[in-house]
Amino acid sequence: MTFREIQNSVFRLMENPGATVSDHLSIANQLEDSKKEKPEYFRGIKAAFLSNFTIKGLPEIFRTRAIFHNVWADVYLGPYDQCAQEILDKKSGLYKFQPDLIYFLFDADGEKANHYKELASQLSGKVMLMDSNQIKAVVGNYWQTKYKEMGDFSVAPEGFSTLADYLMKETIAVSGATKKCLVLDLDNTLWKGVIGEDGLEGIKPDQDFQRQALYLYETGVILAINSKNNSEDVLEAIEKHPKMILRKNHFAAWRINWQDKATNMKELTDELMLGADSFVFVDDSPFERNIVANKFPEVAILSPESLKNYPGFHKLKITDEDRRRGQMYAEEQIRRSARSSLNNVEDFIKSLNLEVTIREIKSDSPIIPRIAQMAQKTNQFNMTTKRWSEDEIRTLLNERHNYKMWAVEAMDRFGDYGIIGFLAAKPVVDKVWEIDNFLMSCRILGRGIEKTLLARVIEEANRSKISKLIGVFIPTKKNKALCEDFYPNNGFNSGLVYKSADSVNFIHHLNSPYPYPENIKVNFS
Amino acid sequence: MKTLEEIIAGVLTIDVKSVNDQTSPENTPGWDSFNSILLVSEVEKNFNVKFELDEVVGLKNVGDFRALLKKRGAF
Repeated sequence: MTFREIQNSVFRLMENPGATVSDHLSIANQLEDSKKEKPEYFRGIKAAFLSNFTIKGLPEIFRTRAIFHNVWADVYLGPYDQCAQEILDKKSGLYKFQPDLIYFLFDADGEKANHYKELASQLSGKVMLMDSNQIKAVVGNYWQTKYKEMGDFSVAPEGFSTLADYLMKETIAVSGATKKCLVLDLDNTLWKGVIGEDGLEGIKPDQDFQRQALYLYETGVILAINSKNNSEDVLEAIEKHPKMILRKNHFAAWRINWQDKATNMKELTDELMLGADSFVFVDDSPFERNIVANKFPEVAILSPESLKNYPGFHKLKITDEDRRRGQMYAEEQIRRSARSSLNNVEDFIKSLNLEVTIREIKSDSPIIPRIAQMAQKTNQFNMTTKRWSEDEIRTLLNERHNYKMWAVEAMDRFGDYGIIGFLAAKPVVDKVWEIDNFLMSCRILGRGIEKTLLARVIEEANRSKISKLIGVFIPTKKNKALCEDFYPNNGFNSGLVYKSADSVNFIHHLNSPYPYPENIKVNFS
Repeated sequence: MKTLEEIIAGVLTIDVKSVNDQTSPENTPGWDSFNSILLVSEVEKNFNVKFELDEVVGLKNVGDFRALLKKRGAF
């Protein structure tokens, strides 16, 4: 099977609630052969499973379903009921595997449960612990069936896909595969009924579904619409129907027309400047789901019922920026309409009254979680795509590594963007600094804010009597368009000395000034 | 809906034509206890029946499976 065929089979599997264990295993058996073919947008993770009951088959089901979430999971299953040995013996298979994430499931209560909790506390790194009650709450009727007697399966094998989907959220967050945008169909998705036929009075907003979407919006998910309808009918219904929970100002973009939905999806990814792999599309019609799936294997495509337990929006932490993101993107929609009414881009930027604050980051800065989150998720304007974690950032800031880091926060007359960019410079040899990480959130690009960070590091380099600043660019499929020419266009020359196989280095000789851009008010803190 | 033979061949990844009533863990490489449990689970789902524990513990070969399904009116 080609990787695309595997993706198609996994999509059909996710669409089929009756898919059996062996339906999963027949795909799982073909995964290893196709590993090399996996697309570039795939994230990787090494997930270990420990348990005091039989979960044979679960890791295979898990890695099969991970394909749907654009995650390649290498899995390790600890030997049956040997949690203690696996955890206490540093030479065990568990440690050899070097997992990014450990799932520890146990079926025990009282003293024994405490014993397993105690064991889990000896593990370092990311651990997701589930006790009997938590597992039962997820798998329901599949808990403690005759399969317990047959082979110590506390969870019947039929319940494994439900359990795998629940466990998936941690894998998605840790691997950085978290989705960013939720695209919704309208008729029989956002409301029951068909607006074009039933009219505003005839439709019934699905309030449970809308509350789920609103919750996601409040945790940083961008909402959009992809619907076959007349846009006037729809926008009127969204604004005026008394039972609607989501209103026009919750949506960052919409395509309400009679084009096919795959074309609409393409336009939405362009308009929002996000990769299709960060999109989720919900539609009640299997036909429409298939149309989009055929064009976009990287989009997660769901029926309305499956949104509730869908793990793809899970994040390790919800930051203040997350809480405001949905709103910020919706404000961006208003900015875009403002843009088309002005003659050129410069006038537009001038009219925004853009203001930024550049913050120097220290190891105790409260914004480090947000920086790590951007490092995990930013793809397009990201010079080196180094996916630093919070801990790594703190380490690099200590005296031994002595990195200098700045974050930039932005606001304009339409709203506040929060922290949207980050630059890290490290001393390499005497009087030479290198820009080791430099990224900007894509929604803010094209306004010159990235130049304020560059101006800041150049200013600091001059102040520290540095003679050369090296700008590193590590090309990927996604960052090429925005990053390739950035350094050459901003006073850097091509460098030869530091060239390596996968990176391109540019040198700034720090003998010409690099001013902060006009039109942007810059504050420091 | 699949036939019993198709389910067994699928789980054990063997040729469906090689499955007969005498096929059992004893004469089939790869038929381990995990596969036995999977078979019960797949057969239950496919024929929409739920077996009791004591009905499945005594199963020795494909013929026993078929007899059990007949008894439960699955075909």
